[in-house]
Amino acid sequence: MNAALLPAHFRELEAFLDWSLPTERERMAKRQHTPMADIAEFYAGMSSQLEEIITYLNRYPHDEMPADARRLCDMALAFVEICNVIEMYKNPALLKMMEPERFVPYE
Amino acid sequence: MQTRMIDKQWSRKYPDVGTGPVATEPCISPAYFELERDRIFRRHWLNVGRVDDIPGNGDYFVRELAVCKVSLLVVRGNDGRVRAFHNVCPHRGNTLVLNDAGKCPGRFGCGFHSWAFTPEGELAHVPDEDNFFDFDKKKHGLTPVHCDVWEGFVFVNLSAQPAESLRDFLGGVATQLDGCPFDRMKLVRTYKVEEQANWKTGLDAQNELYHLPFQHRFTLGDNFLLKDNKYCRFLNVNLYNYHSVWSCEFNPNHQPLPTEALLRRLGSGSGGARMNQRIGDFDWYLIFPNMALLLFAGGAGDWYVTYNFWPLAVDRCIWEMRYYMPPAENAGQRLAQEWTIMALRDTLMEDAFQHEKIQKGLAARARPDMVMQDEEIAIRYFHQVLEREVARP
Repeated sequence: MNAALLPAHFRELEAFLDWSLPTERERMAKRQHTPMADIAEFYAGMSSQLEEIITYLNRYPHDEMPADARRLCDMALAFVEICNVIEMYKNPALLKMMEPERFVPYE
Repeated sequence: MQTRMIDKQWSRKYPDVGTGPVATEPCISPAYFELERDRIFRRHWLNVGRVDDIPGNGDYFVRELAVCKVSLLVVRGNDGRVRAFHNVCPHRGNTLVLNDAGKCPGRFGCGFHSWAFTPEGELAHVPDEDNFFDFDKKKHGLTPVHCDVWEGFVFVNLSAQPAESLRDFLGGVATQLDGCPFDRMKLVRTYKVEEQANWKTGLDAQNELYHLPFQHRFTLGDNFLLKDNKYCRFLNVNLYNYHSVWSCEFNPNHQPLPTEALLRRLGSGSGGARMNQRIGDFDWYLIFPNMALLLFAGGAGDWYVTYNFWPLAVDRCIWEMRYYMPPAENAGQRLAQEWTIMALRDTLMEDAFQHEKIQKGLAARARPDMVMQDEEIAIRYFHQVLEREVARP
């Protein structure tokens, strides 16, 4: 196997690596263009381990994570992007919401 | 809970504001927009950023004030002072700095004839200077624009001589917020949206809570206190000479969502500051003409947001939103902040959608005015101040 993409304890989450997106712009677009069933799958996979993920990531200064932890952190940020879709909105895009590509974040 | 769920209390507090409707014409009339250019945006103090945007000597940003047809260069000099200049070479009018922001590499050089300026705006070098006539470099520095700073917020004033100091202009807002630890929070996110709407349409839509249980019914949850479980109400309203603030309390029985609850627990930090100047849990200031300053009580420290609505045309503007939060110390805090940023952003994306629909409706001239209830008093007052200032010759 190649060098691990995620820290050892979280290898099974590699199925969701396409959610490891470093910018909010990418995470907004991913949420917008992903079917609800796939979002639910990502939510289920991540939510059960979120506390462990945060505990793991908290050992690093936020700006100095190794690449595998950084990827995991970007996945956790994507999880934050979609958690309300599952927990409240029940839809990736709100019915009366400006198109995400017009609502431009700068980080 | 201190919020008094009683009807018509704000018009009793401010009887002079009256209870009448607000004209729609100022949001749709090209002629009125021309008056606003001259009498609002060219005369009043305008917030263009924060000192944190240019922390080091020589740091600068360029701010396009399209409504005034002015490009501004805001720069921290080598003496540490923040100044604003027209971003124009005094030689032949070329735009001096083309970048949005950066650090002055010693001199600002004009791309046309290489005239060079210090970060303090002085003309330092002119190629082939001896071939000019009776030439005095001291008379050809960058053209200054009135610039002042209050609690780290940088304001400019384009008039030849401002009618009042920034301090006097801010009046009761400054009195209320002096010493507020804005400098303890860092810019964590900016959003910019170009809206097909008048600059006041969005500002007005943000300037009340009445719409919250309705427009945001799928996104807001139970964060706010409601009268009879239905209607948001203010804790307090203060009207100042130009500005206003309304405040509200958060629902003490708010039931956090699963991820929200987890991130609250794991994302608490020690570095946060409290803004003791807050009136409620959430204060919303309108700083005339086009700025809003939102103060929030937060679990891991207070935080704040600014809005600037920048007019482009009578029916176009840029809504710029900036979020400032305590610096995140670890991933848990970073994720907790991201949750808060996301939750507010989603409601603001609903708002942005709505602003354009409102503009379309107003432009149809179906009605000459908008009727407003007691919780919309800050909008009514803002339009009265605007009318007053536009009428000033």
